[in-house]
Amino acid sequence: MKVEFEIPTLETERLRLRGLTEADLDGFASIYADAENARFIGGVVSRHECWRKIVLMIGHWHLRGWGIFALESKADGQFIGYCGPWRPDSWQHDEIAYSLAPGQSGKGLAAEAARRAIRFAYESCGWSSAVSYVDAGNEASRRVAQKNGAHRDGSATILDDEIVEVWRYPSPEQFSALFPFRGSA
Amino acid sequence: MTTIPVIETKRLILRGWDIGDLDSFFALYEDRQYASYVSSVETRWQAFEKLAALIGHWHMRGFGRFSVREKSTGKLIGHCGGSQIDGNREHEMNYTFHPDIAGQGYASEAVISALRYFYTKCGWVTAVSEIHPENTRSIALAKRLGAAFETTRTKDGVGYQMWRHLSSEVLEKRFSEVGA
Repeated sequence: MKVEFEIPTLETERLRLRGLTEADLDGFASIYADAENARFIGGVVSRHECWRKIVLMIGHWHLRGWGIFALESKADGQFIGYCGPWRPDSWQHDEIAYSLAPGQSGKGLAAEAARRAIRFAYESCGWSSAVSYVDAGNEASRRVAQKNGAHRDGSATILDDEIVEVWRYPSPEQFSALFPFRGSA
Repeated sequence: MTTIPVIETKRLILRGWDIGDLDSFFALYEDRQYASYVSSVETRWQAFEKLAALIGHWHMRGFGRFSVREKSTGKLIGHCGGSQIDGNREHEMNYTFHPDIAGQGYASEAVISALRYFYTKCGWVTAVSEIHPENTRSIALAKRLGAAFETTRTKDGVGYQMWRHLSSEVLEKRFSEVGA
């Protein structure tokens, strides 16, 4: 039985992807406190519930061997959001999830983080395909998926009855041709 | 990452978890009435979330919930252990056991062993359990463990009972033969 896991630290041009800690609670809670922001990730939830989400995300690493990273700015260490390979029980695909703190959108950070997470999933987690789930109407999230070469591939029902759009990323071979690895970028 | 320890008692093994435990973990909540007292788990995906959260708790606090398995069969019969979501609150002992195992002393054997571990290895000085007032099985277990009713704490309109567990010294005196 695997009882230990290490959450690696990855880097992109502007971001560090690392394990979540309790110090991320304020930043994490800001994502779920903002009604506009939380609209597409299950709605506004309390700080207490955010703590539970963080431990859930850490425990997911143990159960699956991979999971969600905290995103922090390389420049000043600020918490930017979270992103990573994700598969809770009702998910029908191996998914790349991403969400940014209020005020961080529009700078290409989600796409930058997701690109690194996809590469991690393909190279280090044995994934042969990857998708992102996008809530109908979440135009910003759809654009992030498209920037990383995703195309619409139907819909999926998750949780009890929530229908999401499935956006499928290029295969590992196509993906590495589209986005060749250049050092830490 | 914190390694979830393994504790072996006379009849039980307390240890960590893996994804193969999900079905038997979910089955712990199949008695809906009992489940409503101890959790919000109604579906398999909620069980996954709870299981992941229990594991992540170890990472965050250095202690958490053990899986409890019957040594002779390897069967998961419940879970018990420490919980502290709000760092300003007291250490809590939580426990959930499948109704089928009642009457064999398994639950006390597990909780005493876990409590002993937290007292001796994690620096706990005291522990409480917060129990739904209608959860008679858990209240009975708290009494068998020598815990004392302390107060009632109202949450979402329910008056949860706070039970304080025996101190490390008294626990060892009273239950020295239980466990290892």
